[in-house]
Amino acid sequence: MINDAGREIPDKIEGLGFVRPFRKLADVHSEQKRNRAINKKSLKAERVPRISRNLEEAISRSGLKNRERISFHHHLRLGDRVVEQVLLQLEQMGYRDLILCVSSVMGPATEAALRAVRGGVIRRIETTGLKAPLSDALQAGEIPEPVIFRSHGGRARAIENGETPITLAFIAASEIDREGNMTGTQGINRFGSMGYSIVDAENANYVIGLTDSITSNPLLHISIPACFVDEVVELASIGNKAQIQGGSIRISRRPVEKLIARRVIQILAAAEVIKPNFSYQSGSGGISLLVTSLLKEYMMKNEIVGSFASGGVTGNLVDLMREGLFETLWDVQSFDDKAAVSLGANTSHREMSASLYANPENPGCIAHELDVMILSATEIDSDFHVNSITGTNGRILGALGGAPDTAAGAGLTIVVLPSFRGRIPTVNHRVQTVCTPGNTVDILVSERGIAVNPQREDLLQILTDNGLDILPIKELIRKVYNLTGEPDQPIAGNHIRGVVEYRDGSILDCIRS
Amino acid sequence: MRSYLYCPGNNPKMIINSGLYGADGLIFDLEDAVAPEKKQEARILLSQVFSEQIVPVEKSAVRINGPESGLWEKDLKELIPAGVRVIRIPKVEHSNQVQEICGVIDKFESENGITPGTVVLQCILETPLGVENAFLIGDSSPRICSFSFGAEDYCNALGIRRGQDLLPLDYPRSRIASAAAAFGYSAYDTVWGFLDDETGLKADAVRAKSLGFEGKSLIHPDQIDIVNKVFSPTLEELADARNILEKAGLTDGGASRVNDRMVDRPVLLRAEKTIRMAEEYGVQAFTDDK
Repeated sequence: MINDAGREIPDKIEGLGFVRPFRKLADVHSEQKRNRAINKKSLKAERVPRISRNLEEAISRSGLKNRERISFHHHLRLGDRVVEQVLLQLEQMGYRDLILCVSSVMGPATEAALRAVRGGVIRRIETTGLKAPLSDALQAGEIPEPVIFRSHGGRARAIENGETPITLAFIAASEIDREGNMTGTQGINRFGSMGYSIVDAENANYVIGLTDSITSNPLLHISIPACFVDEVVELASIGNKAQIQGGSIRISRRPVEKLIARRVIQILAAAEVIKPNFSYQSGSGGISLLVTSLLKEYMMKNEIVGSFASGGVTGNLVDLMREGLFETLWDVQSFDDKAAVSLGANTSHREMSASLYANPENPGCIAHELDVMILSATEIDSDFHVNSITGTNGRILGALGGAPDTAAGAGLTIVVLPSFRGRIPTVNHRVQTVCTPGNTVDILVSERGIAVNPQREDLLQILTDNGLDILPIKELIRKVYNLTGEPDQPIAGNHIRGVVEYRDGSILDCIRS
Repeated sequence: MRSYLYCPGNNPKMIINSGLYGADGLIFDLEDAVAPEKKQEARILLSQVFSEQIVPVEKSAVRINGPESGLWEKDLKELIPAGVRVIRIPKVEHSNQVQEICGVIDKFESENGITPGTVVLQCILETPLGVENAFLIGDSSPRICSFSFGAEDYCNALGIRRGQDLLPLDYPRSRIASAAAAFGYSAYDTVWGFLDDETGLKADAVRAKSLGFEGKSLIHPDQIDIVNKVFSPTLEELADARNILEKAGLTDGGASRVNDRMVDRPVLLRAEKTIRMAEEYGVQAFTDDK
């Protein structure tokens, strides 16, 4: 069958069963009005989590069985050394055919996951994104069942409503106190927000907290309270400090990226969305950081104070809060050490769970309160469909992240990207993989022009009236192809290797090889 | 032209993006930015870029290799048939250098069926000898349309360190601007090489404007906005020009008094130029201290 993103979707997918095709909603926010399915486990206030140094014993006590679902978070980013320790332990204990449910997979965790797949420990992966070599293995058909790509909000929804029940959650924390409270803001390997794992902690049957720092003092900042933790295991190390905390992020000096960022500010000013109490989110890519930097100048010059900024938080965004330009930061993931420190120290810098951030079934969803969302992408097409997983050549490069959630929720969603990278056009007739449907995207800003989604006639009028040069997206594609030529389409096979699930659980697209 | 942005002639990515940033003019460089072994591929690249009009040809120039390099004739042979019509010659010191180059351009125009005199020249004066010979060079060919100042070699020759002190460059700037004005040519100021010093860039441009320069050559897109602002009329200048033209129109065309100032023909011409520039570029008053 053909879904509303124009993609052919089978009725049934091996390992998933019958599927529900993506359908556009007349009101993309209507789903949030549904009652939230409450699936939280009962709290265990009556007992203190057991603390041990033996991962094997902790796993044994969890009652985990073959074919059940385990979970991890990716807040330690490239510095994560927890996933590989746990998967190795599971392999040694003889586990088979587990489902790996992760918020994302990157760095050494990809190699550990690939080893687990090849060893038969893992048969299915559910994630927002994955990197090589695991992504290459996926496309080579090495993973027995199709990988399910979910947005951060979609993952939280699927876990909370019981669609993907987690048997055992492995949750790394940079410090845990003797009561079992967990934090990401203290300890030598602090990484900041534990937002993605809060949903896991609240809903998994069994939770093992993993840390390399146990303190006898009560935590100053608690990310996950002890009542959600069954067991704490002390490891020699949870990761590589330098890779966890990253370096300070440097604002790009690339002229093309600056040009795009300046155009975004012109658009925001013309559309009059930068006004008192406005809310804002952007990614952590070069252009997004530049937009935030220019936004800061604009807000200071015009003496505007916004209500909140949200999502992944950088030190750059922390500066805006400290200078009084945003009242609150809602942080689901801290991208650098400055943000991690701030989260633990500032009451206006709030930690949020992935559910509060982006779950379409959460009535308080922050993403639905956003006025402005700045998105990056790997490519976009003439229907404004956005691809953030595969490149134009079909190879898996990125992740869904929170893009489908924030695009659906924000009043104004702007995609920023250079019109080609390395001579490969990023604005195409048809994206390789639909990740964020075009009906939730309002504007594309590239260095070669601004295109407005025709369904936003209001924006088109306002921007044109303000003297901004807007061109139809097909004209922009023509301009780009004049420079680069039209790329050949990769030949997709018939085997479904990945499934892109929309935030409501319907199927947007399939990745074939 | 208020701003002329330099772009290496052998960098395809920079070339195709060069027209996006708002510079009034572009200069594709075959001289210092291109290593000797890359000269030929740069010529071929630029000839394709111009013949396929990948850049805005009407506002683009090419800086060829210098008169003493032995390379400029190859540059012209490749570029003129491709559609390059503005040639910037570096390190000009004598009028006979210009005449020699013009002779070769005459030949290539003829061979390619191009109307004689179509190709015009911008001469860069960047040595003490070039600066001292400015008037003679200006008188050497009707193809010349502008002078540019190149401060780096000039400073080296005099043992001056380029920086915040603007005074040492007043003399060459004045001499070049005056010689250019003598022939009705435009005068473009030298590049500012300190990329992070926007305050210095602005001061340098303001000084050049005060000495009679129309615009400035640039080495980075970040410099465009600042320089365009400096060389655009200010709101006050525009209001003054309008006032002068309005009140002068009430007189018999001779000298008149507008407020506390005598207005005669040169003042009227300047006011008309200010209005024309404002119409072309808009009025961009500085709102901060950059």
